Amino acid sequence: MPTIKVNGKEYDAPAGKNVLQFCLDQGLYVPHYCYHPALTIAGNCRMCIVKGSGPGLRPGLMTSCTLPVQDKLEVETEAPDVQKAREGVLEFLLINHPLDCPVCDQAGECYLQDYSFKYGRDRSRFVEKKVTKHTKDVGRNIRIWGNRCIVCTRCVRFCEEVAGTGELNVVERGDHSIIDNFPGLPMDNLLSGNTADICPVGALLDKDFLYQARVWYMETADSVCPTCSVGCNLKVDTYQGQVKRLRPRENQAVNQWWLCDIGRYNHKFTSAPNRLGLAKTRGVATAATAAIAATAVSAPALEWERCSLDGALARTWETLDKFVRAEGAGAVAGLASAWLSNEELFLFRKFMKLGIGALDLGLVAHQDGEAHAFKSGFKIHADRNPNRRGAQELLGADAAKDGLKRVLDGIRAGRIKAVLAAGGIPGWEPDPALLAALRKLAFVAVLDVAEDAPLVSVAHVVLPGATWVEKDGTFTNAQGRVQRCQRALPPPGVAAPESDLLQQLLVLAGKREKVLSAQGVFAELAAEVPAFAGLSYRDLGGQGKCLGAAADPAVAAR
Amino acid sequence: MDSHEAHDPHASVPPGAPAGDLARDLFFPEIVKGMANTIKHFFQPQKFTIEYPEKKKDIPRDFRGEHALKRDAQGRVKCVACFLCATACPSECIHIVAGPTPAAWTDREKYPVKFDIDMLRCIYCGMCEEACPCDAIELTSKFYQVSETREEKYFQKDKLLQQPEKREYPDEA
Repeated sequence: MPTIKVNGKEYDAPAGKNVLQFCLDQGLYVPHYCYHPALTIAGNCRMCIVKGSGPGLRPGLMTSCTLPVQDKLEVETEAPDVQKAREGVLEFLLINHPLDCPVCDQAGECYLQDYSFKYGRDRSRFVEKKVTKHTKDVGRNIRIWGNRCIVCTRCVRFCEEVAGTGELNVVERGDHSIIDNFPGLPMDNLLSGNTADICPVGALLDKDFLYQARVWYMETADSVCPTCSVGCNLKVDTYQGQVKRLRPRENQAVNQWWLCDIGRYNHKFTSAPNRLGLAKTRGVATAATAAIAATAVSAPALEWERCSLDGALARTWETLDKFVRAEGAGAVAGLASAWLSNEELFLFRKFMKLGIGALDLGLVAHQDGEAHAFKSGFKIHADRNPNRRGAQELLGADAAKDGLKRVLDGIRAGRIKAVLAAGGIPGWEPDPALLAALRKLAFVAVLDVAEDAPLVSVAHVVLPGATWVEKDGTFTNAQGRVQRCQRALPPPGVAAPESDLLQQLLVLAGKREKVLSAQGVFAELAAEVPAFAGLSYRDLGGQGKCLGAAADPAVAAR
Repeated sequence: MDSHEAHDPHASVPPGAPAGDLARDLFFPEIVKGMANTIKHFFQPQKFTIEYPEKKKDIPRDFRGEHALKRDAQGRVKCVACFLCATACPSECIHIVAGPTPAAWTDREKYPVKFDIDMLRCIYCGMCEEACPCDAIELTSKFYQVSETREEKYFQKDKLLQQPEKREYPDEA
């Protein structure tokens, strides 16, 4: 392995790797704009300049991104002439850059701002007229402010190499160079939002987030995307109790550096006006007697009454219990949702099996979408649920596949009289046959997040649950990787994570003493479910772990 | 002997005074002395008070009173919703909601849809004025603050745009 010297210290470095990435890996920060580990090297911003010398190399200043590691290479990243060159590069970059940081959304996370502060001059010597360029929409989600652009071409290379669609290019020459989309070819690919993330300055901005919040006000939680079974790692940025944007978080085993637009913009439901913040019930007393009299009154015919959360939980348990006593445990079935976390699915099964003794469990899930694959290998799965795999492990593969059909058959045959169902699936259009069947039941208790959710329309008791940004938990993606989502916001009103609600039902059923945190439930789950054996929140860390990692070293290495 | 000690005005019993003097114990001579001083000033022509509110005092140039949002030459709000005032504000009393400008404003892209100041939280430090890159907010010399409800003290954009300009009030002659 070649030995190179960086700032007087010797390192063993892999041959062929570029010096910039090697320095970054070693924690030696070298400022850069155009270099991105996912993209080909352009070497056009000149910011990563270092002083280099070595065999066969003309000593002097060179861009470290284009400098491959070779034996006996010597590099200085903070030499006085390097600092002076950087200052010069920044001065050039700022020649045509407007001083509009106060109204630029990138301010606060802008590399031009940060580097100017750290490496740049404190004033400009440029006295001529600045060149002005276009501000236009280059795609459905992205707008370009040409004046702010430093033409690093990250976005151009992204569209070419990652999305594989190549809508963007540099037009004009010299200081008039500017990024534009080809005429008639707007950047509407499903990864377009990433161009705003990788833009080091405020040139490409996300129209969805435009003017929503100054970035320094936002709070961030690490999470995963629930919109498909890939489970992209992301950051949830919130401001004043609302999710303002989702940003990808690097995980080479899952989503590389990227996030698709379908997932990126699928957070509006968390702060929609239709969120359930209160528990409500209708006709529960009638339903309880109906169990005995067998004269069910279907839910939609009844008026809602407001109810405390504790009251709704108590009524749910008491009514389900009455059905079990009157008709046997087979009269109650459970429908879990593929949007529940692993912990919640575990508790759901536990409540249905231990608390009720129910025979039938089913799984409801979002209808499939379209699958997509991109040039870089990034994928969007057709399965638009975050945790179908977890449901297969925790409810049983059979229940996850055919359980719903069995429950429906049971309802149609009149055997099943009451159902506890979990929803919380945004944009879900369930099979009309499912709703028609549930509508006939004497008692339906529902855990959901929206007032107008399909399941709420057939419910007798509605327990307000939490969306994925409002709870701690884990999802298992399609490859079996268990990944954590962390709470970024409190749920609205009296709503609570389903793991809390299900544990309270278990307490009411006398099967549990107290309500544990998601971490506590996960520890219980890991102890009881073999597939999850050996996993804990601590092990999962920020990147997750694959199921069966404890048993199989090959899996653990994934 | 030190003269200060000899005439200590704070000593409860002056040296050499007879014990149990009732007039002295009731501070009677001191009250008479004080009243004499008051009455003496009462007849002097020089006055230090003004007849507020009929007459108003000159407010110093840098007085920090209620906020005003300024307007540009076309009468539009000058503020560009950069949030620097809200960021600088130590009492966190400025609440802004930014949005894209109306289509007719071709020179600007961002403006405050809402601009609220909670005057009951404000400590009148003037940091917002100092932070503003557009000279769009200022603390006027308006200092009297009367309201019947808390809500009235939650100033919104319309109210802040109608505030008098700095030093216009009261009459500065």
